[in-house]
Amino acid sequence: MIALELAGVSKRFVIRHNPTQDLKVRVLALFHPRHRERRHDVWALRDVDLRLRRGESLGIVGPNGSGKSTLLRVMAGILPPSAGEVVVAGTIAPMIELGVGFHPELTGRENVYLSTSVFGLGTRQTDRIYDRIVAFAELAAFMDAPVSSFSSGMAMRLGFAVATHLEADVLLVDEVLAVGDQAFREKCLARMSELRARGCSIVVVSHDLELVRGFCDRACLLREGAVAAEGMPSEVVARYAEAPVPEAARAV
Amino acid sequence: MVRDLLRYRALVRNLVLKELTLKYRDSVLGIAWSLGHPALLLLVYTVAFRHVLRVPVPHYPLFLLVTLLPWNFFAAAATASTGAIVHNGALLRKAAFPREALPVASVLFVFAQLLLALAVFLPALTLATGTGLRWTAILLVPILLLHLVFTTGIALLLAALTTAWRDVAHFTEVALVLVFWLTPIVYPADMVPAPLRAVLALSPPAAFATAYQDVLFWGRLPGWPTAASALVSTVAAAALGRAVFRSMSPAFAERVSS
Repeated sequence: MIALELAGVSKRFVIRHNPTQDLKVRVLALFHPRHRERRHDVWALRDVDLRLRRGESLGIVGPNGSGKSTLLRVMAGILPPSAGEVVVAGTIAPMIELGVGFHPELTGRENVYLSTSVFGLGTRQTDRIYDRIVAFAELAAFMDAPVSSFSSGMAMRLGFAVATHLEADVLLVDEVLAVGDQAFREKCLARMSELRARGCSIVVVSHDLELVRGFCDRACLLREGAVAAEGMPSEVVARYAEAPVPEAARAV
Repeated sequence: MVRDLLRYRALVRNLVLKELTLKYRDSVLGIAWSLGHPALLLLVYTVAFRHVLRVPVPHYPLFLLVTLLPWNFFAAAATASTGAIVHNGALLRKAAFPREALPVASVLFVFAQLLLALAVFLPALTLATGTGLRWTAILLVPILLLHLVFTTGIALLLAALTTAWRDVAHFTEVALVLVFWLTPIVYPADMVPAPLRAVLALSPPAAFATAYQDVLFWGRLPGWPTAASALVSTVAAAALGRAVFRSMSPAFAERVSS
């Protein structure tokens, strides 16, 4: 069963080189071409086809600027694709950052309810998973304190706990494991394996090739927005390691 | 749009609660400020317009209250909506919730303050002035609802347009001051010279102000021009705000910075 499918997905960004287009600049532009707005298109994704089965984990690797984060945002529905189609069977939980919607002055509890509602959960749905979130984050004694008083590790645990208890069908993970210590990382990986065993599909974007090789069922290498290789993680990672920087990027 | 908002009603509710918590946390008087602010305005305006400029209206504080509070709601909602999208880049770039939740929450937050202020000041001032409310006061409910829908439409429009032209925020600030003085809030509509009065009657804020005055202060039914103007402008603002917001919202995550 397919949980997520991308068909011919492309994403174009318009780069404006002199974005200050106030009245003065616009009047000057009538006389001096130099002041005219210069823009050019950047294709962050080019004709990407991907399929993710239920309970499958896909690793996405590639150099900086290859379109990995854009791909996750398009999958999550945050950015509309310029061409192509994204089909999600079920719900999707993007973990582009830990603690989305968290406000430092609100308490742990208030932040949990705010963050889950950002992902579409109702109050009663959050009531049902609240105790599990707190238990996973190991923060039972701190939930009525403002998050600004948390250590960064505590805030990360709470953010991860929220995102992985939303009971989404697809979980998108962007580099978030890179920020924690070894213990946090192991706990997160164990939780992600547990979700996957229960049928949740997971997309992981990471520069950590060991993680992709060790955790993912399949991997895909992005280069300049296009899928350059796809298949077994060990093979894709080997392809990436051969020439991590493409010729074109090196020339720049 | 309405269906999306109903599905995400917990988000709207939590955003309103967040603004409420953040606004009054660590202040000694807390939520009393949402009453202290209009109380001071009423006091100063009464001194300036009743006792200095001598606007010939009896029970002036009550006259002022019934239009000033709704105007403050509209003005605060319009101002807040210009930042509702552009100041929430971090959230917009990380989750795919219905974007209208942000301006709608801003509007509901100030609407809650309006209801609170009305609930306290309306009985207090009708008792103090000894005027009492007539049966027409029950029409306050539909008028408030219309005003809420009208304001939400304007808020959606302003929130969306600000992402493309930041000028909208500055324009709104100035326009609100102009419209305030051109709306019969501190003076009654019949003080306006006849030729100008016909023009002002076309303004939606004037229609709402007149409607509030009619049912709460004069104790009469609003005339049909007032009712028609309020109804038509509500439908127009809601339709326009919704259409513009829907066509622009897919690009919000690209237009704002986090």
